[in-house]
Amino acid sequence: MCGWTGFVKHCAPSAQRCDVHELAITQAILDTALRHAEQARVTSVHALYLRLGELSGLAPDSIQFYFDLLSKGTCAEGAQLHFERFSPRARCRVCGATRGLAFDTSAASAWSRRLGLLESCACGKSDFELEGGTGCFLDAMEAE
Amino acid sequence: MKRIPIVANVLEYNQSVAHDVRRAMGSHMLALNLLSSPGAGKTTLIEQTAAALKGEIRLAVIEGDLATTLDADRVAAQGVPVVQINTDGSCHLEARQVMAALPQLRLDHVDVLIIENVGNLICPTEFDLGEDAKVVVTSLTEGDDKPLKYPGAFVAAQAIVVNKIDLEPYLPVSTQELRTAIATINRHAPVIALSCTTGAGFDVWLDWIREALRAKRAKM
Repeated sequence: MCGWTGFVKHCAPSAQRCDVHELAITQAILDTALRHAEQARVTSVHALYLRLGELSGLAPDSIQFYFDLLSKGTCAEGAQLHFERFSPRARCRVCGATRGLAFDTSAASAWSRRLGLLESCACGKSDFELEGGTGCFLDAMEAE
Repeated sequence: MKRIPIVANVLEYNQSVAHDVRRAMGSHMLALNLLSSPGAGKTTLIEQTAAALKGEIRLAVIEGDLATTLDADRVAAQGVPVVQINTDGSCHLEARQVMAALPQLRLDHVDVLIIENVGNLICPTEFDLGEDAKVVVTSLTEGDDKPLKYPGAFVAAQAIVVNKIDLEPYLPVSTQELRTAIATINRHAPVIALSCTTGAGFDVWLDWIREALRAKRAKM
């Protein structure tokens, strides 16, 4: 698979390549769901409950689209995906207080304003770091 | 019909491989995951870093590109070992690809491994490659709105390089405005403003690499 060309070595694309990141993540969602379905000895998965981090850059529509394709012929074929978003938390680097960042996804305002990062902490400072808000978690499934 | 609680991290598959990558690389070597939009100057930054650190720090590079070996050839011309990963259309690198590339490098002869991710500020951010630090490269020509439009990448960065500062006189945006925009998203990552064309600020970048390598080895 891999050979020399001058200084440059090559790695051929993996057979299990995934074109967009949603496809890679959807495959992982399906694999996780099928593994748990087998453990729970269920034969038909009707719904999956997922949590997506607001910072993850993952599009729910795209995940459902790929899921419909990838799940064909499995016990999760046709399952409806339910998404819940979770936001990062802001931790004040001065006093250590944390607060959840409410998301207004309909707002056209800049991210920092949507996140409320321009607001001061109760201690009067506005020096925050963001915690969490990334990743994708499969919380539960409905199955029989 | 029953509801079955699961609570599984869907990205676990990638993270477990990233953990293997970290173990394979060991504690003597620093690995950087370079993220940027296309054209920000990742490859030029790597070329010039390789040239500047020659004889001091042994560099190796993993090049992630949709197609072609153009970038890898440029970096290899600096005399550093390069492994090319062509993702063949995929928008991001995953840990398994880095794991597959590692055996092609003599890791005991490498001090710093730079992984040049696919030029994209969205997709690669969720995929841990086993790196010690994500470095976002942005450039003044991209304007000052990118940190706000692509917060995931900027939040995850341990250092942010602002390239092309030599063009500031010709652009409607200033380095300071871009710094301010970055600070609303990430205040703790150092912002290293430089020009790969004039070399201005480049020493700060090289010092950041030296310090990051020293800090990694001090943890041994």
